[in-house]
Amino acid sequence: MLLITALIFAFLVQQSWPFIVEHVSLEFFTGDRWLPVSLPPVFQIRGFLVSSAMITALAIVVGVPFGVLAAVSLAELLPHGISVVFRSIFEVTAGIPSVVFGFLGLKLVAPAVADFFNLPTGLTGFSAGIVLSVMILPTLISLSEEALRNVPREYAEASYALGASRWQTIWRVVVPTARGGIAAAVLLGIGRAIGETMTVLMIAGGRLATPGSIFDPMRPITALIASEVNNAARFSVQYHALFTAGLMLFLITLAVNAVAASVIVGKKGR
Amino acid sequence: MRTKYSLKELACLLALGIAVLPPLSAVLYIFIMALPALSLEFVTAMPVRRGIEGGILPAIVGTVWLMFGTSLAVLPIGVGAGIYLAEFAPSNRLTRILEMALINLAGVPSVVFGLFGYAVFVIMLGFGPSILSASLTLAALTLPLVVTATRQALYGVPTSFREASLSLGANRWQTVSTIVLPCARTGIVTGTLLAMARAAGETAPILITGAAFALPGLPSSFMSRFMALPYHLYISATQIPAMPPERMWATAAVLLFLVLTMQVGATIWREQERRNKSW
Repeated sequence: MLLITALIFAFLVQQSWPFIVEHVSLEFFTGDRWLPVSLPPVFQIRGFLVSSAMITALAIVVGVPFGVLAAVSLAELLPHGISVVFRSIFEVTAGIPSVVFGFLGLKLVAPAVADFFNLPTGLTGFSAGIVLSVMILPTLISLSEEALRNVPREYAEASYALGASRWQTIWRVVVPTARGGIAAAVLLGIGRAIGETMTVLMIAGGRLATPGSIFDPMRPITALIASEVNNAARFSVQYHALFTAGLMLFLITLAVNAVAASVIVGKKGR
Repeated sequence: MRTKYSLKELACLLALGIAVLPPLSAVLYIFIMALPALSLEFVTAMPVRRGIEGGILPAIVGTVWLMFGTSLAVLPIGVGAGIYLAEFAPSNRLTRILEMALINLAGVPSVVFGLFGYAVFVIMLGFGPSILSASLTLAALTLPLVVTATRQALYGVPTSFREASLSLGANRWQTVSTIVLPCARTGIVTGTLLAMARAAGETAPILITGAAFALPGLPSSFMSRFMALPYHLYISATQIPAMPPERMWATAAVLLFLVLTMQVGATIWREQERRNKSW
């Protein structure tokens, strides 16, 4: 596994190196123009980065409250039998292919968003973020629930012994104790949202310019790669530029996941 | 557990209820919308006029090829790594790094796996856009799943089994291969089923490594290009305006049915087995 992770990194670097050496400057990150076939071609990726950040932020803002409260219900409030049923429903959700979510977003969410907010098109970052928030719920819920369950029983018992109610115990004792694990869950949710490809490719709208608001059509970095790599001539500047974008995506998700992983693995060590 | 709830606790339960609603209703809705187009012909006939008429047989066959190709590639490596981590890995720094790599690999975006597969399998190794390239790419993507499932299954085998075997004079490898692995068989198989379900549903990696929307025949070997259900759905929905909507819903339903039966089946099987065990 280490080898494959290392190999992926090595190949991404190798394939993007020609571009990094020749074309990457500050403008690569701060500019808005992406003109792969003009002469000379221009590659600037701020728009894609901003799009990814906006959609991920929306997915997290919407998803985390539901995720954490649902995890509290499963871990602390519901009898075991009912929790099991809900848990398997979320397991099934995690298995729904992302292209199916994208299709649903295209057919149901986007038209509804266009109607509700009176927009010319529903294919916007907002629709993508909403669908993503549903997609990251299984990750958020299962890991948060595990964190809550790992809180030692004695903590809750001590709190009850002092006369606290169940809700006070949950909210003042159990949740704060589990916050490391919950934070890891949120981080993995962020990583998942940044890396999600098909949903944003199908419903974020695909406009290249830097979005002014979440209600604009936009193209996150994953969608950029998926939509252009088949048309880019092998070993062309565009090809290497797309690998550079992939390398950035890899590094961003790696950083997010590494922090989450160190929280999780570190916990087990103790 | 007390089942009388305060107001705030009820709010919590409400959040759970809302969270569970979209996926449940989505699955139901897809199957209802698919009904008008679903027929025996739809799943057994070749497409006509770029899939606007006829069936989706080649996409189903392509997805089945992918599932088998992926499991063939991922099983030996994934199970091997799982066995190592559970049975032989010393509890040291390297093992912790390996575990971190496992979590990180699971978090690498699927489109990045696609780029990796494209650069390595399609171009460098010269497999071209083919079932082989796509299967190997999907194998890398599903590796963490198989490793984790294997490891979990091995952890589930009681230590006393190993001790009994060792005390009878078996060495560590004999113990693992004749005692521990057979006990963990179901866990490993169900883990592989889950990986196959995942491979069947992925779109971004195969989009880059060889999926096609319309091909004249069924794939003949691992070197063929292929159609696949998720890719078929993606192109139908975004690039074929003439595609009748009920056919897209039906494609989504077939994909969902395939993925969910494997997944639910694997989960139920694993739980059943767990319950049947006396240890």
